[in-house]
Amino acid sequence: MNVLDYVVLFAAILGIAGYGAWHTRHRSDMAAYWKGVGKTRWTVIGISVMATQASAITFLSTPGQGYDGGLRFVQNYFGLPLALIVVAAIFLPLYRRLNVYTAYEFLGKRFDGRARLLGAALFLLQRGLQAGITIYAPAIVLTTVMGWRLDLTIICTGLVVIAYTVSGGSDAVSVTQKYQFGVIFAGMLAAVIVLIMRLPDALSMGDALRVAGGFDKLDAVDFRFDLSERYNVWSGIIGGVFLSLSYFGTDQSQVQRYLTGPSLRESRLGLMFNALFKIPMQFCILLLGVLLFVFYQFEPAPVYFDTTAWEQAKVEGASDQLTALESAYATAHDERAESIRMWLEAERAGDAVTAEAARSSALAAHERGQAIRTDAIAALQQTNERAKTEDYDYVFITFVLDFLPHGLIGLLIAVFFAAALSSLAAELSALGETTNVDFYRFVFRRVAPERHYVTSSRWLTVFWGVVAIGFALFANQQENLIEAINIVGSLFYGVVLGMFCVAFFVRHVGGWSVFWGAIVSQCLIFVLFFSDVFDFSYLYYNMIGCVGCVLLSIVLQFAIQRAKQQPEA
Amino acid sequence: MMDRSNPITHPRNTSFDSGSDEHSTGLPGFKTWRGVYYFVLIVFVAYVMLFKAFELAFS
Repeated sequence: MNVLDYVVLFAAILGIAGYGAWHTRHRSDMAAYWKGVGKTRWTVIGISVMATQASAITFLSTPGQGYDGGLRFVQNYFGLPLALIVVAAIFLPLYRRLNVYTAYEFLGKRFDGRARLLGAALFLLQRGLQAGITIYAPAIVLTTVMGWRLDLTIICTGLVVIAYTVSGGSDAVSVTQKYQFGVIFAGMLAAVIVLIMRLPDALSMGDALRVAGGFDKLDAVDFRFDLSERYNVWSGIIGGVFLSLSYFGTDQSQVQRYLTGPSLRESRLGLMFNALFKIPMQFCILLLGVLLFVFYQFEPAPVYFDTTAWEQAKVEGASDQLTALESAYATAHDERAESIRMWLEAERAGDAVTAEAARSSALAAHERGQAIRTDAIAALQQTNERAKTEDYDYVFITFVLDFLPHGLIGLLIAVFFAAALSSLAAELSALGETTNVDFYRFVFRRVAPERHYVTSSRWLTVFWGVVAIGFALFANQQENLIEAINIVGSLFYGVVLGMFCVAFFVRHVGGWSVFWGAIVSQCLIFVLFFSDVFDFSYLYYNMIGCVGCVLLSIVLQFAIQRAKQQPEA
Repeated sequence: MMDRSNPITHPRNTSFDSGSDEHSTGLPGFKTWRGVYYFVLIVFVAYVMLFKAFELAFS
């Protein structure tokens, strides 16, 4: 990065944060601080909901998913439109009618204080963990490739978010997200344009897609029913509905976003905006990863995309072995590139037999390359035990730094930071609000002036910001960041959703039953996750937690009623 | 702590149809929210079919 890149980066990030803080500096009552001043339009709500979900990991890691696994990850989002319809039709009207600040207030009104506190506690636990991942995940990748200090990057990112979130509350989050998303859109579009322009001259877009299809990278939809398959239509729809329903319907970081709408109509349209555009957005980001795969079929690719770790291993004594692997990988790459050229030429000439033979040759060279990569990672881990077995989070950032012109590099780094700030701000705001409304005000101080609660909210947001920074400083690396954040969510979301489903749809169940039903279901999820007995996609944890909580609550309620009836008999 | 469902705040005991914006979408071509939801479902099915067609076109 040069001076121009740093100017673009700091102007985009600090300019937006500063504007957000200035624009919302006079929020001094609870309603304005947490719900805005009632002028938020559906476009801003829609962007805010989308920006909260799409963190830096989305833009760093998802192209890597596309590069490695092709388009199949898009199935992860198939449950989202269905879930958003349910949230818009059922959850949202009730939240608005009860005029709640947090989703967990609803549990308190429907059941009792114990259920409210449990729902809020589960949210704080999982969202507190995820806030740490949100700040740590992009920092570890960016600092590795940029050579920045990890601790300083984490602390500076956290402090910027804390500053404007504390200043303007939920409204500041919405205002900044609108502009941050503009930076993200512009940056990603620029990257796609540069990538397409950088493809070989003789390679048309159709050729590029044929190459991707030949390597099965365009397999977006898999209808086979297999519980152990992480991504197929069924895990996406069944597990994805529960995951999305829980995330959008009961996670305060999202509930807070759409409750800022001045009317039910604006909030609903904001949700429908996401129901329509989230899947194509993820598809486009994955397609960017697929095109990166095609690009690196012709452009020499590093054996291991975390080149800093690779060079470090060379310095630490594995130089001869790693250099030999680099040489073998380059040979396999050249053979593959040549086979692909022959394959495309044969297709243009209409020679199907030669085309298929050349494609088989390209696939064989690809397999050799993958085998060399496996050996390379094993050699790397002999030098450095902490080296990751997957390096796909580094694919897009490597392309950005190696092939984008100066100025655009700064813009793309700003994209990653803008995405990190937008989702972290929403998380901290929701954590602060939930702690304030569901614990501080509900348990410790029920009556106080509005300004007191705004002040306590501000301090609690600072507290969660510090917790997120602390967690990020001590976090361990995950193999793939976007999966890590989804897995953590899936462990808790199902049970919380189960509590809300009981509240909405099972009339006769009371607070005691749902409380213990939720506790036992959560324990069951932990047992399933930590034991190796069952092998199924993590998306199904959402369904198991939800169904378990609902069924156990009903059974417990039935047992209570039986126990009450027996003495009378 | 009380162990009793709260009949007042249960969704079945509250009217979903109060307020004008419950009915009106304000969108051209969509008189009710149900129509909007059907439209979203149809678009989702179209996405899945397009993805499959895209996959088959270049496989």
